[in-house]
Amino acid sequence: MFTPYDTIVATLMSAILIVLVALFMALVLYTSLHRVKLNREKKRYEKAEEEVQPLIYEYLEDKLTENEFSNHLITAQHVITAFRTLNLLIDNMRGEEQARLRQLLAIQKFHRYFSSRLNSNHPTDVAQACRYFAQKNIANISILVELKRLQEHPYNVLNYSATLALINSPDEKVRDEAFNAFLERKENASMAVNDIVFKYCGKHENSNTAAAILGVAIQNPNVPVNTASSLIKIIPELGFFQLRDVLLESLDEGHANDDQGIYRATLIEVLNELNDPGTKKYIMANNLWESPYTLVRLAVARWALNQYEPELDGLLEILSQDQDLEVRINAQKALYKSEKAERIARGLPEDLQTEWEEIKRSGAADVGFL
Amino acid sequence: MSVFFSILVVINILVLIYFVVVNGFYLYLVIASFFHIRRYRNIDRIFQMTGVYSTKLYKPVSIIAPAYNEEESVINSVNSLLNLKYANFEVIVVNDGSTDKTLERLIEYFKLEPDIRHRPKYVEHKPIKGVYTSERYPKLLVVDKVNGQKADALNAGINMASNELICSVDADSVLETDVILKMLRVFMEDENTIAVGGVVRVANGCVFKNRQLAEVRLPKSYLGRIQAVEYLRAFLFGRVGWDYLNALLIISGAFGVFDRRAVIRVGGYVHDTVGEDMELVLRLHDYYIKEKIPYKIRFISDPVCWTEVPEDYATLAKQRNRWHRGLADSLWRYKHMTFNPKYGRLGSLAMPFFFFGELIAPVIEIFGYVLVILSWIFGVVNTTFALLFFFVAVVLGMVLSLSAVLLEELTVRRYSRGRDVLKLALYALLENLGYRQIHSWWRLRGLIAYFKGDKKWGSMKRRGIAKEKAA
Repeated sequence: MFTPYDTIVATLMSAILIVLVALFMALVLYTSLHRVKLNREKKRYEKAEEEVQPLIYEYLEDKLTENEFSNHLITAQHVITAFRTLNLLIDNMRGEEQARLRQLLAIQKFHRYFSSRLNSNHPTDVAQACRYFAQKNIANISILVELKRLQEHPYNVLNYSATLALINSPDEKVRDEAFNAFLERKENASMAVNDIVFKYCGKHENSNTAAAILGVAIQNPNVPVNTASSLIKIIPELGFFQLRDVLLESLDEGHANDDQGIYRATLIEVLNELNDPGTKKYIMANNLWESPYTLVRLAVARWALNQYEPELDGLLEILSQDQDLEVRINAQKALYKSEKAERIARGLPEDLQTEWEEIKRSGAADVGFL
Repeated sequence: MSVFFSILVVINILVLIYFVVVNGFYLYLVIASFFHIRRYRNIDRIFQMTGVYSTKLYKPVSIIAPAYNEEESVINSVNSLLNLKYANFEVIVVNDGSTDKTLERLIEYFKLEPDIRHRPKYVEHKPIKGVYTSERYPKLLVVDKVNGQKADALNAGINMASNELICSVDADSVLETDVILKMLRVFMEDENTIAVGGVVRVANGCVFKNRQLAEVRLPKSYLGRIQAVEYLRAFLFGRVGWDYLNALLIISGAFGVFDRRAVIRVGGYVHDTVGEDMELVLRLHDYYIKEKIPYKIRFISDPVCWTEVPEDYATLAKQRNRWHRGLADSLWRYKHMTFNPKYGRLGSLAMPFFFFGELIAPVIEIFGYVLVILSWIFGVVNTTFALLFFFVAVVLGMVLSLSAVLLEELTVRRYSRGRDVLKLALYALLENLGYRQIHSWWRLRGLIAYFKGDKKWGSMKRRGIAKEKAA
């Protein structure tokens, strides 16, 4: 016999079951309809691609003007497909054809479409819009203002995208301001910094100008240490060997906020890569093998391994007994080149003798380091 | 009798509360995952990494693939790894004392020659018997070592790696060609990222051409299809949801990218567990939080790794038994994090959920079936209520499984054929009628085995994926 309580519970459970079954059926229906919708959208994009591609080639062959091309971009699919196709072709073409295609990006239809996307709630849409503005010369003040606002966005992707757009501005002042604003941000990832710097430096025809700007940024105390280190690391990749003196000077002076030694360690590594003979002077002058930071001592050990000379035996003896394994391995490997190696090694504590034996066994073989 | 009746009533209420809380949270994860995936879909296309195939602007990656008795699939897997779209990477295959012809096949196919590599032992592992390289395949390094199981093999790979990032994959898995680019996006967004997980999906039934995924299809077997649904649920709303909450506890051992220095800092993979993947992630969390070092552990839904799943009950049972033992072991090792506010959402949300909602779930579920029967017998619940509750539980499970299929359809859409999606939906229903209950039994046995101290890996029958479709 059912009590009122049983009835209430049974009614509640039945209601929940009905809701769940309804939800289940709604999910099935929604999934089916969504697939139909996506298939239709896919067909629309395919159709748009079939229509847009020939138009681009007709434009290149002077059979179509910009206005006529623009008039054919009727739907959003046409606009997006045209943008994607143009980007692909621009990446793969050179010379006059590339320049003409870039001109096409300036048509109003693209501008209107992507301007509206700058204020979208979807980060992907905003970033895509920034990517569009990175391709064309931004003259519109409101767009510039919006992009500068996005440079302060906490989401790194939008910050990166907006910077990418701004550093492509024909206005040198806008470019430089955007670049410096980006560099002074604390949260930039090293790969994003590398990417922006690479593209920014590519905008300067005269590499000395770009190098000079980079040199100033490296020594700018407002640029976070991690970013400054990324700038230093990218110098060999960019081929800015004229910055050697700046690097040496920075090694001597250090960075105001280098609380883990990253700045100096990176400088030593890059100077080591460049085989700069001036590095030794600043390492010795600042006793960097006695640095409290493991990264600096490690960089010194690696430098000594690469640049070994008997004068370094003293500091290598100290580094061979470092508390850090990697520092010790590098130092011992360097010491192996010394005529006094065995004598020095005999002075190593007993627990480090095994490491020394391992180093001797490896001989000249490559030793992989972190 | 009345005391027993009262006890049953109380237990019923507790089980009901448990049911509502756990499933309510699953529903929350589904909704959060949906918006999280949609919001950041295709964001990797924004990063137009210049010179990604030719410069050192981007972090180099060492892909580590432990291999044990993989003679059927290792060549295809290694070839697919070597074909990844990226300039700066190496592939390290660690032959973990295979008893079949895994090493011989590698040597013959890739024209490997013995080499000498001296590496400091940053993390512990069993002795290395030999190192092999190939002039024809300069990105490939093969390490032959004494068997020590997966964690040990991974540690050997970590020591032999030369690059800043390591990517652990299973040797029988196939990565999509652009996975590294997609994973690197996360490192470009945040310098503090130390680990990223990607999606693992079921390769059984898929068509591979030139050792690359050509067509996504469903497995032909019942178990394979059920697992296709399971993997969607686990990755598309489980992991994504926890990533949204910044409380990810696990990165799959089949596919994950880690900062090598971070892994070495915490001592590499431990040997005395079968859940080494989850254990490492928890240890990273523990270390970085204790040391107050800013860090991020992420999961993204774009990059996909395809892996072979067991299609026979015996192997699947062993696998799920092992997974549950691994879960128990990891949660027990880091029990100090549970309900500990020092660990933020990890301690206050993720750890308790995994303990109550995952670890003891099979106990509650199986006990629940017994409880319902007992309660019905003793009149605590009437037949109507018992049946209704059963249907609610089953239909809710179906809704959650179907949500995973829907998420797949609304976001990544790998199944191009509509009928495959419909079949998946059907198996999302069927999963809750029979399979779920068997799965709970396997997990319960895993939990019991854990308490008995079982640490065995077991073996899996492999057919080898990435075989060409017959003409």
